[in-house]
Amino acid sequence: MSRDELTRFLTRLRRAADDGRDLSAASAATAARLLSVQGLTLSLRATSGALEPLWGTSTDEHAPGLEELQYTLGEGPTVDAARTGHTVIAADLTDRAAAERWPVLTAAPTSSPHAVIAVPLRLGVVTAGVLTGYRTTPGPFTPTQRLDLDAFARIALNLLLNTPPRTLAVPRPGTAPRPDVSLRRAQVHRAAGFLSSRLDITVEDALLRLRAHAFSHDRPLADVARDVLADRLHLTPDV
Amino acid sequence: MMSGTGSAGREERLAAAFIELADTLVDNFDILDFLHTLTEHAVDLLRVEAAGVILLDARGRLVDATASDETTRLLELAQIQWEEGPCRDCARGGRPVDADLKDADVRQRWPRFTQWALARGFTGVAGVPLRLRAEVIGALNLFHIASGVLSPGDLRLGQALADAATIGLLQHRAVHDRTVLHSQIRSAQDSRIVLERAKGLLAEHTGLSLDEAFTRMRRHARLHRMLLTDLATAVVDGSASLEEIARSSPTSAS
Repeated sequence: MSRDELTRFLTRLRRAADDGRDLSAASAATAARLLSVQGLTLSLRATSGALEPLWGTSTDEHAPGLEELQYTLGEGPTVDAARTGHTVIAADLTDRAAAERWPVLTAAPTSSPHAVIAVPLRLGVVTAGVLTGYRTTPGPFTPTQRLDLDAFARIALNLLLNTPPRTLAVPRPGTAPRPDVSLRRAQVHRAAGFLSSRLDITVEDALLRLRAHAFSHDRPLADVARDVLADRLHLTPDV
Repeated sequence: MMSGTGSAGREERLAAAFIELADTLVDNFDILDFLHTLTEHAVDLLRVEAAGVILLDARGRLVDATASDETTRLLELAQIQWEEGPCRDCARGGRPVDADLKDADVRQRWPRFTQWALARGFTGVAGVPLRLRAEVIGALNLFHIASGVLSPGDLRLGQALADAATIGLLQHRAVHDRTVLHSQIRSAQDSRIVLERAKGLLAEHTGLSLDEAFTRMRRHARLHRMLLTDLATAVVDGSASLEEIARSSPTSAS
């Protein structure tokens, strides 16, 4: 039943990509359900190499906490997939193999027993981004599940390439950026700019400062960013 | 000139040629170099003395031409200019041609080309299209001095080399097009990141709201005929005067 549904879903998206539609044609929640994961995100690599989440399941769900943590710490399956261009699987983030590979991530307080699969979106020799699936239960991903994720990743890349650059580049005043495809961490970048002016440090350093605070206080980066912008949280130059 | 047939290791050279022609997804891919490789393999593996290749765009205009040697390359270019010759016909029609240059018909069909080729000692020329299904992107010309036409085996192998090269080229072209799209999207995202950072920075520095900071940056950029991204970059790297941008209020702008 659900396989048929997945096949229909992928067929529809393939057609949407051929018709020039972008990622807003794909519901992240539906994709996650049909691919048997609880969280699904797509990140685009900036020219700096940094990963920016662009599309995915809602931030309140299980996955993005872990996703954000990977960006905060600079280590994890998604980060490795972006760097190596290979699919990276963590069948259980609490096992020894995971602890050895990602010591900080797996030791972090919010790290729960998730299974993670990170599929690079490859364009020739370039890795354009990463599709990451998060599962609340540990255990391997079956070959079928991996093939399904690969198939979805290929279609997602085609949809991504149809994104009109203008919709990503400049938010028009008065109109909210489209919720489905936009810079998901706009608030974090605003807060980094804000903090860099406040503390007279570079924006990159301010970003690190925000991440360090989020990590050491076990809070979502987005919440820290919001508080900084609202002047409710006063960070000092040193951690 | 090399005539590879019959010599030891031909099969290995054949396999190497096909592998090399499929290998287009590399960082430093160069189309002319790739086409030149195709002509070298043709001369090495077939009973031909020279080979030339032309690439055309969708409207039949010349994109690139090269050959196993310089005189043949000029002949490839000349076919486009003269609007006659086997390579041009083959690329236009998408069908192989194989001609004995001593035939009166052939001389009549390609008078300038035939005269030129005969003067250089060639007696026959064959052409195979660079074609995948309905798409013809060019042609490979094979020049020889044996009497008559090319052997069916050599013509088939020539076509196979051309097919492999076509797939390689189309694959490279597809990836190239997608790479261009990707870099546009990525640079749009880069712009957005720097813009959001600049908004936060300007808002903190001036006490303006984020929206107002954005509005003033846009106004300032327009007033000074700057790209918003360039202004945002200057705000973030500290080279812009924040006070001046903050003064870009509606009254001062008009």
